[in-house]
Amino acid sequence: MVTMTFDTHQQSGQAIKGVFSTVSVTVVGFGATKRRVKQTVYVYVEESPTGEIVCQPLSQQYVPLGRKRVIDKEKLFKSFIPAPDIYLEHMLPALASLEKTVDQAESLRQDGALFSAEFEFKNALRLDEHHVRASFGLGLTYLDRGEKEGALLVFRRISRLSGATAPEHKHLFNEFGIKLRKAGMHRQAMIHYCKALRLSREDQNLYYNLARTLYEAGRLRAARRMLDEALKRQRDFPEARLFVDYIREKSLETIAATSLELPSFEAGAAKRGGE
Amino acid sequence: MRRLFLGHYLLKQGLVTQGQLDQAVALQMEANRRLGDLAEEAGLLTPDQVRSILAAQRAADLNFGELAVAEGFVTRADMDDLLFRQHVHQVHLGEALLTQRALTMEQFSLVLEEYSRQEEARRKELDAVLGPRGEGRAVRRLVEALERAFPRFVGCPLKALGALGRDELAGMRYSYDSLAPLKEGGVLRYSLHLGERMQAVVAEAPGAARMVCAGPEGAVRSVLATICAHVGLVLSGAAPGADRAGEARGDVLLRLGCPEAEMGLCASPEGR
Repeated sequence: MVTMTFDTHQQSGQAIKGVFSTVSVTVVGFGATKRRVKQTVYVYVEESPTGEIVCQPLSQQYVPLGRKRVIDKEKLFKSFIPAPDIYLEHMLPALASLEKTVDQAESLRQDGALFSAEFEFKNALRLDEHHVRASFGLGLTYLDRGEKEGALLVFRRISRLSGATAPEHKHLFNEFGIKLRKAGMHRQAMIHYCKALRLSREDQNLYYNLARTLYEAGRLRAARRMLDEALKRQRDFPEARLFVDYIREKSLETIAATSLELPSFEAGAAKRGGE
Repeated sequence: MRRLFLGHYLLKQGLVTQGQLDQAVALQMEANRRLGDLAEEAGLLTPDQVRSILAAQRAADLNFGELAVAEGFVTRADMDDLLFRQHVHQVHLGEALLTQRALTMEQFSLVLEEYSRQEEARRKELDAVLGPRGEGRAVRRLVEALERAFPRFVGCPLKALGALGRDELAGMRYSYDSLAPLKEGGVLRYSLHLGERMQAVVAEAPGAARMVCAGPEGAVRSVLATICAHVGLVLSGAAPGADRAGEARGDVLLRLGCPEAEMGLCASPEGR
C-alpha cells in the first residue's frame, strides 16, 4: 500500500514514502551566453523505522539510483514538493517493469537460454546497477557458461553490494557460492562464504559449504575445522559427519602413501650429541 | 577463410545483411564507451590522469583499469564499480542486432549458442598446439600479446585459429622476423607471415607511417615493428622454453586471422 503523508511515525504510525521534487538552478555558458537554467529534480524519499528521512535521486527512467542521503524532515518540507503523480504513474511502473525483466531473465536462465538471459539481466542492470537479483543472475549466467572473467567481475560487484546477503536473496547467494566452487574459483568462494559468516555466525550450512571449498582447495585441516564448527551448531548433521569421516580416511591414506619415516627420538638425539 | 568472427558467421548463414551489420556496428560504436571517458564522467579521473594512463599503456601491456589503480589514481573498489558499469552497458554485436530487430530472440539465442560451440572448438584446437591455458608458456603469451596488440595498432581484431602447415606458411610471401628476450636468458624467435590481403589490412592501419620512398611495404614494416616492440615488452616476463610444442619439435606454426585476412606465425622458443 502506497502512503504519501506528512505525518510522522510518532504521530500516526504512517511513514513518509514517495517521490518529491525540487528545482535546481545551474549556470551554463560563458560571457554573453551565460544563463541560469532551472531543472526539476525528482527524489525518492522513504522514512526509515528509526524516523530518518532517506532520499535517493530518480534516474531518467524513474528508478531510484545513486547515493542515498539522509536529510532532516524540516529540510524535506522546506525544499521539496510531493510529486505523487510521478510516484504512481512513473516510478512504480518502472520498478514493476524492471522486476518483470529480471523474472524473464531468470526464466531464460532456467531454460538454458544463457545468452538471452545475459541480455535481459544486463537490460535490468542498465536501469539499476545495484539490483541484487539481476547481479546474481548475471554472475550465475556467466558461471553456467564457464566464463570466469565475467563471473569474477560480477563477484567483485556482489561482494560490495549492500543487500546481497539479505534473507530474500539467500538461495541466490548459496547458489552463487556453490557455482564459484564448482568453477574452481575457490578463493572467491571462500571470500563469499566468509562474508556470509560474518553476518550469520550460527549458520551450519555455511560452515559446511566453506569446508567443501577448503577441501577442494587442498586445505584438509581447515576443512575439518569448519566441519567441527558446523557440527557444533547442529550435532545431527549427517552430511557433515560423513565428510569428517571421509577427510580422516583421506588423511590416513595420504600419510600411508607418502611412506615418510622420521628418525626416532633416540637416533636424532644421538646425532645431535655427536655434532 | 574460416568464419571466425560473429559478423561473418551471421552473413554466411544468411541471417543478416551487410547493411544490418553496418547499422549494428554503428550502434555499438555509439553505445560502447571507453573506461577513461566513464571515469572522467564519474569524476574519478581528471583528463590529465587519463592521458597519463594512456601514455603508460603504450609501454606496458596492462589494461587501463589496472594502470589507474597501480598509479594510485583510483581505488580498486571504485575501478571495479566502473568496470561493472562499462560491462553492463557494453553492447555486443548480437545484442545490437537484437535491439535493431535484425534478429529475433530465438535466432539470437541459437546463433550465439552455435557460435559459442565453434569458439570452444577453436580454443581446444589451440590448446592442442600451445598446451593448456594459464601456464605462462612463452608462445601462448606471444599469441595473446599479438591478439591484444593488433586492435590497438592495426585497428582490427585478431584471433589465433589453430595449427598451420609449412606449405601454407610458404604461400604467405611477406615475412617479418623478430625476437623477444625472455626471463632467465631465453629467447623467443618468431616471424609473422603475411599474404597480400593481410599486407593491405596492415598498410591501412590508422597509425601506419607512410614513408614516401618505401611505399605500402614500408608502412607494413613500420606497423609490424611497433607491434613486435610492444610484444617484446610483454614477453620479457615470460619463462623460456616451457612450451609443450616447442619442447617436442622446435617450431610452432599457427594461423592467425582478422575479419578480412589471415596470417601465419612461426615461433621457436630457445631455452636458457
